[in-house]
Amino acid sequence: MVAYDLTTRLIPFLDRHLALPLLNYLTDLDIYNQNQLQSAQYELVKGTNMVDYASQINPHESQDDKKKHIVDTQQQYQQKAKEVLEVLTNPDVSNHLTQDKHKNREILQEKFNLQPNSIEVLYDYGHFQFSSGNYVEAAEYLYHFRILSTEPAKVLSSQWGILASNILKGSFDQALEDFNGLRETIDRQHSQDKGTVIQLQQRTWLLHWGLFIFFNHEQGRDVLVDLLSHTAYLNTLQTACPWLLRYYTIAVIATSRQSQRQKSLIRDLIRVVNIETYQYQDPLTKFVEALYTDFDFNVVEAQLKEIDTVFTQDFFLSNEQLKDDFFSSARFYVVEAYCRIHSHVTISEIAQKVGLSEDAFKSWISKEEKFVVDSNAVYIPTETPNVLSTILDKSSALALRSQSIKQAITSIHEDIPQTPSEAAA
Amino acid sequence: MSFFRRAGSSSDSDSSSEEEELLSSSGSEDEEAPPQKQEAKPMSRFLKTAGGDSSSSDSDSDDSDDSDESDDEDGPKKSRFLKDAPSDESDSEEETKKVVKSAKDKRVEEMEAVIKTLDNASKISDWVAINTEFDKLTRLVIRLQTLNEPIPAMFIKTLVSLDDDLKSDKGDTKKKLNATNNRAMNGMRQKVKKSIRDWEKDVASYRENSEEFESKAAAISAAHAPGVAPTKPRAEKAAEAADADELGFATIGKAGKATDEPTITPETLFRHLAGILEARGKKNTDRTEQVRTLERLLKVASTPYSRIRVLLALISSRFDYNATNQAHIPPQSWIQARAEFDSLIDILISQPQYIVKEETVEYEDSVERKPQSADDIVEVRGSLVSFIERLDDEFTKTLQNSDPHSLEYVERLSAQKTLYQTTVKTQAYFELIKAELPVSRTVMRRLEHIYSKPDAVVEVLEKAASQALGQLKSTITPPQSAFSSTKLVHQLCTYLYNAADGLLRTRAMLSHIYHHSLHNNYHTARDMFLMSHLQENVSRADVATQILFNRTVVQLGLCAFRTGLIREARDSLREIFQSGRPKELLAQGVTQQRYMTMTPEQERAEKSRQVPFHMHINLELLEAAYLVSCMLIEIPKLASATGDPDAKRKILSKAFKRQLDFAERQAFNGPPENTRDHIMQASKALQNSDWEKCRDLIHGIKIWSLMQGETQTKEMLTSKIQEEALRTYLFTNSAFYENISISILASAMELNEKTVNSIISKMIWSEELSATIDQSNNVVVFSKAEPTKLQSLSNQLLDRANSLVELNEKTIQLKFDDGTNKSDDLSARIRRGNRGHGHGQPKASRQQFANPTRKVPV
Repeated sequence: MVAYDLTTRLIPFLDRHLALPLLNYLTDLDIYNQNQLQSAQYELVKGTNMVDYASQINPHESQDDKKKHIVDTQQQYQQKAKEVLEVLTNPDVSNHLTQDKHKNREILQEKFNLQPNSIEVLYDYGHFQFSSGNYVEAAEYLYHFRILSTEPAKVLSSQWGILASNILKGSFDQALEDFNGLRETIDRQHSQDKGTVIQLQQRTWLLHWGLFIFFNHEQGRDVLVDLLSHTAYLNTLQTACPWLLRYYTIAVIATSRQSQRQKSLIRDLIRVVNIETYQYQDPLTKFVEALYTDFDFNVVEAQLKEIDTVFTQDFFLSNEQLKDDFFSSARFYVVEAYCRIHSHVTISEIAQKVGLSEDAFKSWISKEEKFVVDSNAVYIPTETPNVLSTILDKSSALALRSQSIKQAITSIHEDIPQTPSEAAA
Repeated sequence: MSFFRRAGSSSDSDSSSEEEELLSSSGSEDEEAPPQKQEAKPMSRFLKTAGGDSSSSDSDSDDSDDSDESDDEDGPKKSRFLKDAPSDESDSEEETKKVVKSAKDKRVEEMEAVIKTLDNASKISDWVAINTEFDKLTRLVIRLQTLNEPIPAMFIKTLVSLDDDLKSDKGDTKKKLNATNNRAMNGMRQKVKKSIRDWEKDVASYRENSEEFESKAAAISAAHAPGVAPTKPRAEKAAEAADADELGFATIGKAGKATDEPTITPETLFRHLAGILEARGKKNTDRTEQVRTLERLLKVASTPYSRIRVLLALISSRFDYNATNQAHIPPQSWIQARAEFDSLIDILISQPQYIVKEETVEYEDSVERKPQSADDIVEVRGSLVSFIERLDDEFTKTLQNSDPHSLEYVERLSAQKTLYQTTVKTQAYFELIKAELPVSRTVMRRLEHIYSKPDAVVEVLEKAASQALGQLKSTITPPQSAFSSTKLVHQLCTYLYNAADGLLRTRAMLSHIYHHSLHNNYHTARDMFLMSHLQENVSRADVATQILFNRTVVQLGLCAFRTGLIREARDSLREIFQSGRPKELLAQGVTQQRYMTMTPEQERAEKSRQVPFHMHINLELLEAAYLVSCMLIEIPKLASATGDPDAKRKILSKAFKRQLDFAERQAFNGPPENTRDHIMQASKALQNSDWEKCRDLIHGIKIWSLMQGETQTKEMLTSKIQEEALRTYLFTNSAFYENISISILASAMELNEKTVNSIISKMIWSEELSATIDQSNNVVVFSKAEPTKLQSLSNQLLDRANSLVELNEKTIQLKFDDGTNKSDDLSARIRRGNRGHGHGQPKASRQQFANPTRKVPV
């Protein structure tokens, strides 16, 4: 059962703080050795300032020294940051500030006696707060820093910090905004020589961090689908983190079938899955492959069952609604394919293929407009277009259009002789 | 003016034109000199009368250097050898033996000889002769100047006496002289005036006190090069040296100590060396003689320093061959050069206190140097990395220029092992002394030796290399317990990725991809290829890299073919074959261009680019792979396109289609003779879904034997042929059936039912086939929705009529809408635009990677 768990692959691309919820989830699942999990958690927490948490996990090791040190630093930072914040919260200041960061800097320095390096304090304090697990404060300080600082590297870093803080404090609307901002920043970077490697790395992180948003925000799945319809990110997925194909597959299949793009999305998905078979396979990709490449419905049936365990094991997929959406769509695609290929499809047969009892299947399919259930058979009503009638349709339109052209020409012709006569008059 | 002309012309090639001659000669003449034709006549007349004076003929060919140079050289030489020659004065008979003379001595002698003739000529007021001799003299002086040697006093002396002569001659003799002579005299006057201006100071001091000046100059030149002063002792010394030349060196070798002999002290050794180095690259240097001397010097050299110096000189002079006459270094010299380079590296490894560097602090050339303390390091000027690269280049050149089917080629190729040993050793040495750039360059050379070779060969090379290394360790390539060429290549490449600059990195990348393809790691190779983004900018790379790129793409295609990825194989190979010039693109030979003639230079450049034969990728195999891939893709496509004329145009593999059409036009098809025949007949069999015949024909292609994993490839091809035959059958015959049993199809194609099912399902799903599967009866039911011929034709007609009307609408709008109906126009445009983008642009896929824009090496 451990086989489908991706946590070990995801963690290297996540922040310590972001990885913690994943581990906690695993603890509940009980598929790994609890002791190992606990030590892993402890390792993660040790690197942060969350002393209490650490001693909670591992009470044997004393954290008192560290705690004392942390409290001290916090006081120092608080002192420094207070001064800065005082200035910044002054309503006068915000009236003076403009879009130009450099100009802001000058204004702050001249009028409010705020040295540029005191802005740095905001960054340090924000970072400190984040490390201590106070995400709300962290997001706030880093936000102030980001809009004031002119140092690109630190601004980028603060953006990551804000994104993580917002994710962890659960405000996904905010996080989505940050996510898009960060994405723009990364895409804007020039890809030169070693720059490409860094860009690839950052995109990989973004994709991983984004998982929190993709599966928690209402429009999250659309964002994921959107993101991966860009070649740059799709390539990132293919080269650096093929395991994310699982989430891509789910997002594409669960996307509303009414969407115009759905067909092309599925086509792209099939292609990517086929290309990546050699380096990543899981029930989701196998399902896609069996359904659309091999058309082996027995495998499809088996994989659908496997997918169920995937959903229960995956931290990001634990959402019941998502699961329902996915299975409903997946069933639809299976039935669609099966009906199109086969001439006589009985309910018992197809219900088995999609892993439902006959009654459950009947109640499900009655909601799908595309299929018609006739006593014991299911089919997709197709109207084979009558060749003759299409030909007639096409030709009648032609005649009409040609006539209008003709009229246009004659009216122009009538106009032309009028003009000189008018001129004469 | 003439001064500079001469200086320039001595380096000119033989091709200096008639015009230049005219310029130079008229320059030496007076302003009102008559045109060339008139002048030439009296000249030649004069020549006849002057007789015997060989030097005057030089004035014609002054600018064409080679003959001239040798003339210069011949003059004094002849005089030395012929006892009764007028210029041969006190130079003793000992000199007739072959003497190892420094170039300096030779020049001084030359100058003496010239001055002698000059004196004689001035005695009889033969100004024409004086003129030419003086030119010669100035040229000699310029050469001395460029070599930073002191100007002998005799030159100044001659100058002054000439000046005096001219001044005294002024009025009276002028009338006596004939026209030519007169003109020459005037020319002389100008030249002398100019020269005196150049040497103003020396001339002045000479005029003041001639004797003192002379002795001073002699002292200077003596100090500058001991033993060169034209005095009696020098002659003796030379004689001794001459003796030593023949016997001395050998005996010293026996005695074991060079310092015992007075003549070959380390100092003389360095002086000899300096002489040789100076003469290097000059036109009149005898290269073989130099090499011989250096070999002797090497025997004498006993200290590490002297050995290093001599070896450096020796190796570089081995590489001195006439590039215009010879295409490559003589094999014998190459072998020796390699051995010598090897010993040089050995010395450097065993003597870590000596280091050879490109840039060093200035040091005295002619002094023996030793490390002063334990951590003192003696730096010697030289470039090891250029030696190893040169060795490598020359090795390639010898291979390029020998017939690949001869024994000679094999013989030369066998030298690769030793070269590889040396390369590896050099690399280890560079690592030892931590020279980064040379390491990466050497690693690249090493990589180039192994990346395209099969494992067995690499293993042999590596074994030899590890023997050569001995105690030496390489950190880049630590010895492996179990040999794996992939690992080795990986180590080398990763080093280059981190250390090297753009070009080396690109080449390393390509070699790495090539190697992976060779080992059937298609996915790794393809991913690397895509990640490198090389196809985007390879057109800006140099030709050699482009060739490597082409080789890599092709190899990748072959790899895909072996792996059974037919479409990928076709895409990779297509570019090369569509160009119609695969030979050139892979640098494996030149096909005659019909409308292009190449200049000899182009031809030579093209030849120098060729890949040596043993690294060739078999073109016939490539073509077979390409055409078979095309067959498997295009035949079903053609079958599905019957009745639809537009579909035929969508065929991508034009080359294949052309050949197929050609084959179809043939009235008779004999048994297949070559690969192409095989594939064309196989294609026909596949069209008839006769998969067994098709398989037999494809398997009958002999060239597959060159493919690695031949049997697997054939098996793969068989199953592909079966599948495609099934598809073709369904396409061609579906119209004639109501239903077909799947089990019958399966048995006919010898496929299992599951595969047949899946193939048919796929065709139905992708709407290639309008049918359904009746799974209870296990049959395919074809729906007769296929339009009849009449219907499809009328559909076509309607489509065309439609586009005609659309065109009309557009025209009307353009012609008569004078801007009044903007909104209509806009809406129409939007409608049209929407139609264009209705389905969303298909993303650039990773599969379509093989569309590099490649420049063709010309």
